[in-house]
Amino acid sequence: MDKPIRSVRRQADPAPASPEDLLVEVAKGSEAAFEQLYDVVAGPVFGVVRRVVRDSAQSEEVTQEVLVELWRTATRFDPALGGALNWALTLAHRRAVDRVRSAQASTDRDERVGALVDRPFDEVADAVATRLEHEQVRRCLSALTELQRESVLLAYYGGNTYREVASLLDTPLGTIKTRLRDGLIRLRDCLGVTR
Amino acid sequence: MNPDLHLLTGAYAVDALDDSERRQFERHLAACPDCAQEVAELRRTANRLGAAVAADPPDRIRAGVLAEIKGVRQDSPGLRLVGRRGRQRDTGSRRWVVGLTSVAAAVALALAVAFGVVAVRAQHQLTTTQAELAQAAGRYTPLAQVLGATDMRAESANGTQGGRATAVVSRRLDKGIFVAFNMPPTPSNRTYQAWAIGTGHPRSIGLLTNGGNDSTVPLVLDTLANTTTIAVTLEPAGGSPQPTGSLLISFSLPT
Repeated sequence: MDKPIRSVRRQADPAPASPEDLLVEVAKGSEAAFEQLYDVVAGPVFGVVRRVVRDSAQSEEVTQEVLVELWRTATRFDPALGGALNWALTLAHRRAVDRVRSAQASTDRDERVGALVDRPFDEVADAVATRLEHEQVRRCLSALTELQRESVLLAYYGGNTYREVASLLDTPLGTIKTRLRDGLIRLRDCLGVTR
Repeated sequence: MNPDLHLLTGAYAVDALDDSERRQFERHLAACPDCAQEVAELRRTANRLGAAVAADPPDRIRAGVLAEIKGVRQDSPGLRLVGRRGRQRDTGSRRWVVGLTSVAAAVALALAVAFGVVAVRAQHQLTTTQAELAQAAGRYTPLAQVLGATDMRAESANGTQGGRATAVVSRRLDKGIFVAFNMPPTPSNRTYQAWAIGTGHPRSIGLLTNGGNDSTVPLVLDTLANTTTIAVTLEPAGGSPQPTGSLLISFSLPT
């Protein structure tokens, strides 16, 4: 509570500003801060959008929409309620899901789901930070039960509703609802996510 | 809390509800601080799955985004109080502390209008994103936190022209909630505005908007630092950077 408000550092300063500091500057209309923020969040945003949307042209389109939306809504960001990357990824997943649910023909969806079931979490990441994150997430995913893991992956990366997940896994709706929740809770505890 | 709805926190956090279920759950969320907290955590957890598959986008996206934002106006900020840090204890004198019963009543009303905030936001935004809603729901976390704080105190005062205002604060959490009740109607070109007053210029807490049930939408005081008095004035529509009208309601914050 007594933390002083940090200001965005100048470019000459070797220590980079945190994404949250940058977003606060972006909210004041700073395009320079947005450019720096872009470099932090664009990779994760593009990664999740591409994962859900699959089609590369559409993925690029949605990624651009999300990043412009991040600029537009930076004024609503409340740093007390989560980090800047979390905010960006929330927008990204929401928009990616909107796109696949509204636009894609059912045949595309079947293909997408099939592809996901074949390789749930195996794409190789290039950046070191991403690789570490990937490793940790993989380890924590392996601590879930199979049904928890499949439910979470089909919903998050597959962009499926829990009804669709239930039908894909041929499992009662109530069970999927519960597995999604307790699977995420187990992941949360394994990853050490706190408020 | 509805146990069936509560189970949907996971599905909601990974955007796995269909539109009608999502709306229903968001109504529930606005009135359930526990659920909002869990959703926030599970959402952060889900986003780790996103961060784990980060991939460099093509350079043309960077160029496209940076060009596009030059023509995009940023949204106006919400009613969030942006307080300045700098600690100073108040020395309230003519305050009176309301009894626990009326505090509970004020709180119940504040909770009742919490849903109203989400609805208002939804109507006014063409693209209400889940992120925004989650943040809106998160605004009630301060409410729950303040109410649950062991050092929770409330102050209240009647307005000179009618109406009544209450602030519930926790010094330990450095947070407060402001709500006004039964405020007289304003001309269409005027609006009530609440102020946090300490040393230096008064700071706007936000404009009072009707939250239904004769109560305003609750405003959150993100900090109590350098705030000794809460006041309400009548200002031109859209609000003023500094108060121009006379103090219609004013009372000292509890220490």
